[in-house]
Amino acid sequence: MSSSRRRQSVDLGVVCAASLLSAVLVALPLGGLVTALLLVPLVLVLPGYALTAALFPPGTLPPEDRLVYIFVLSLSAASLGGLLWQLAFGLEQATWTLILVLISLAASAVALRRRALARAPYVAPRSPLLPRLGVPTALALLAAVALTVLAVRSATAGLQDQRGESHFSALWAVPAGLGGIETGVSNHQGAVHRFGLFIEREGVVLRGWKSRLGATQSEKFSLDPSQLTGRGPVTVSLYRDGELYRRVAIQLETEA
Amino acid sequence: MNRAGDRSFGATGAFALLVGGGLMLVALGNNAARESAASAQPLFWGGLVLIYAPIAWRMFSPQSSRAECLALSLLLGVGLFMVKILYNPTGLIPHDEMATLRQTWELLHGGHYFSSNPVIQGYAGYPGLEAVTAALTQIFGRSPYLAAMIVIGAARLGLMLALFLFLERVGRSYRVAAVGAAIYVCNPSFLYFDSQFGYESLALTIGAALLLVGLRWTMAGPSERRGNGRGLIAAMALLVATMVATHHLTSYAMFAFFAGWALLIEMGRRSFLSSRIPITRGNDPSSRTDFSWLRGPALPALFTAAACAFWLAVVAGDVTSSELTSVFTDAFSSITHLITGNSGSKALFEAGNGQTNTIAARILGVASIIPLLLIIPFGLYRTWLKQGSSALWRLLALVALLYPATLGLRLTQAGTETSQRASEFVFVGLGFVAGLLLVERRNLRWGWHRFVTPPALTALATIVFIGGFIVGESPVTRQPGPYLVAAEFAAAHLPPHSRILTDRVNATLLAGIGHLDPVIGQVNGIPVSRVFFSRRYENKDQEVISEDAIDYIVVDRRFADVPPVSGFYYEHDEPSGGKPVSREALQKFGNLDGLYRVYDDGSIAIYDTSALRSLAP
Repeated sequence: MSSSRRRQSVDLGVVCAASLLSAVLVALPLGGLVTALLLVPLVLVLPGYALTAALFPPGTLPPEDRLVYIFVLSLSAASLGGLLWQLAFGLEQATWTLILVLISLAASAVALRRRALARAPYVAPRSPLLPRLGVPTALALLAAVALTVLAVRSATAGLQDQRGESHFSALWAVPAGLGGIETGVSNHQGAVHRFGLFIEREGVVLRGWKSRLGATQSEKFSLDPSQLTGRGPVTVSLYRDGELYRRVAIQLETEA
Repeated sequence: MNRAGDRSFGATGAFALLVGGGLMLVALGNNAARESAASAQPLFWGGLVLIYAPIAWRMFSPQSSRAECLALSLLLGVGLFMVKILYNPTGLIPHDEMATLRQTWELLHGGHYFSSNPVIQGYAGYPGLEAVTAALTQIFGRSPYLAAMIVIGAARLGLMLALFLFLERVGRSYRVAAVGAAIYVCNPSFLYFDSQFGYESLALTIGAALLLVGLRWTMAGPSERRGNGRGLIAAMALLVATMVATHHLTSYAMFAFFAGWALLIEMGRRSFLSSRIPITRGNDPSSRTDFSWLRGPALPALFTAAACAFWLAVVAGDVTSSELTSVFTDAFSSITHLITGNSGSKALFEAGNGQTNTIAARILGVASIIPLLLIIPFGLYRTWLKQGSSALWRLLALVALLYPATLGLRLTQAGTETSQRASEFVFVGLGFVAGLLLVERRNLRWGWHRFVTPPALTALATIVFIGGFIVGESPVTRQPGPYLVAAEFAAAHLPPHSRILTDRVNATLLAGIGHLDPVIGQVNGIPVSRVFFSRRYENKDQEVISEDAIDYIVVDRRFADVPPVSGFYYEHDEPSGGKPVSREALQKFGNLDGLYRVYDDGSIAIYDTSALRSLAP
């Protein structure tokens, strides 16, 4: 391959490398927001870029059209690729990664072949958008992004305040394991309160607990079958600041 | 405009700052609404005007460059999408979002498409959005909410870009596209409904991209067809398949559009209807010597028809018919009843719980309709009776003509949903017609017109934008309301797919977040909602619990005091007729043998029916 041909295919090399690198990132237990954001193109950009390159030789589409195709063909790769795959296998993290990387590599290979067969050397068109993005505009855009982030933070804080002002506490009890129960209390009072929780069966207190819970704090208790002596429904009573506040009950299935 | 000017972003940065400021006002307005403060409405509406009006003014201005108009169109789209984010920046809320979230959860946990959906049946047959969201969720390892917002946000950018390019090429002017985009965002669905995590939000982008490819295919000359022909056909096939797997109505609308376009090309080859209607052949691809039906919009129409037929026959026939049949029959019967006098019209500008708009909001709502109605006859005259038109221009004018019909649907409750959903298609036609009429008025560039017209048009467009939002969104749901919980408990502690009896709002939350299966309808001819209305627990209630294998009953005690926002708590035809449920009926569950309250937060109680269920009715 001549050097000009190689230059033409740099973009496809980047797509292939980015796809493989994304697969590695998925496999590594890295976590973190930056890693997550680095993986977004594997779903929304890379397969579409490769497919667009395979379908339309360079220079045959305006750059804006290519942008549209890159996004929507990425959607096609994920939804139709997943559709075919799930006919035979299940979809999970590894298989989604495999599907999208394979589509990106295969489409890049087709695009590479089409470019190699093209008669005229390719001259990349200049984007009509980016060259004129001056410093003032870029700074203003950055400031707008900052304002938007502030707006989202403000709305989030408002939502959390609203939740804090929803004054109630929740009590619950559900079966756990074979013949056991799990019960709990969540404080949504927006302030510290004294709580007392009593688990009873046939009038006998099987477990008692008294403590303070801060705003948004929760407490959970589990009783295994050996601790659940007696018969009939298990009743859980919640006292708030010394007064009976809520009561729930559970009939264990083994006795229903 | 010279080339340098054509490639300048102009004052985009300054407009971006205004959008940021507008978003700040909206956020503060929403916070004020959460506290029921008086400043909520001025801040919210002020924010919306600050986002829309300056950009609209610039897009109407003849001095703006192409790059600036394109950038402003994207900015407007994404800015208005952020308004939806600010409604609830930490999670999903509307009914349809819960249905999509549930479908995504099924795919994430089951690994397969097409799981049944207890919130909206139709979602089970259209997995496009859930597939992309699940792929992103699993690959980047973050929450489905974040994945959903990234996908829908990117789709919004894609929609604005594709729409701008389509209108620009059809109107042969970037200014037609600029005006068209500014009018398109005024459609009542744009701000919230089309920004939500719902299949239509994504399908619109795919549909707009398909329009772009279809236009390119139709207008391609012999040399482009040689170079790009196979690529365009493959792109159309891929996009049609993706769209059909994503949303039914968008697919049908696209088929109708391409088929209508093909028909009008054929009609435009000769004076088909009357000698007064000029032929359009000179501006249509049919004037090319190599033109054939399949080298025009008939090919994407054929692709779409074949894909829809296959999808309905093999994959999603049942869920599609059950979803759409009820929507359309309800709309049709309610309109029929209205015409025959069997029922009165819906109170316009009123939510189901009786909450109404202010007089000013009503005036704005009505005022927003008038300019749009006025441009339609001018658009029809320009595209059908004057020279220099094309089949596509005529089709877009006909699409705009659907607008008055969609307004008529708003006279009934059932028809309102159909009207709302039609607006995102109808406004493509309205936007184009508005852009064409405006750009052809060349004298607007000179003299006093240059200074007076853009502000006047901006004021008019802002009324259309604000009024459209008032028409499309109930006063109750424009800004955030009270905080609801219990679904998080269900997700953590109750078995997935447990069958529950509950009201419509809690059903949506418990299915979307709690992964439970709400039960609706009738069992042995008994409406399941009767369990909530009977003052004493009776045999028929027991029959519902036993026969329908109900695992939990979820009771919202607030229904004894607060009327329902949507006009009903459980089902359209419930016995209370949308009035509060009797306290006695809601309290009966607390004293029932065999029914155990396993969750209680004061407002909402969840009862375990396992001991009660096995009893004979």
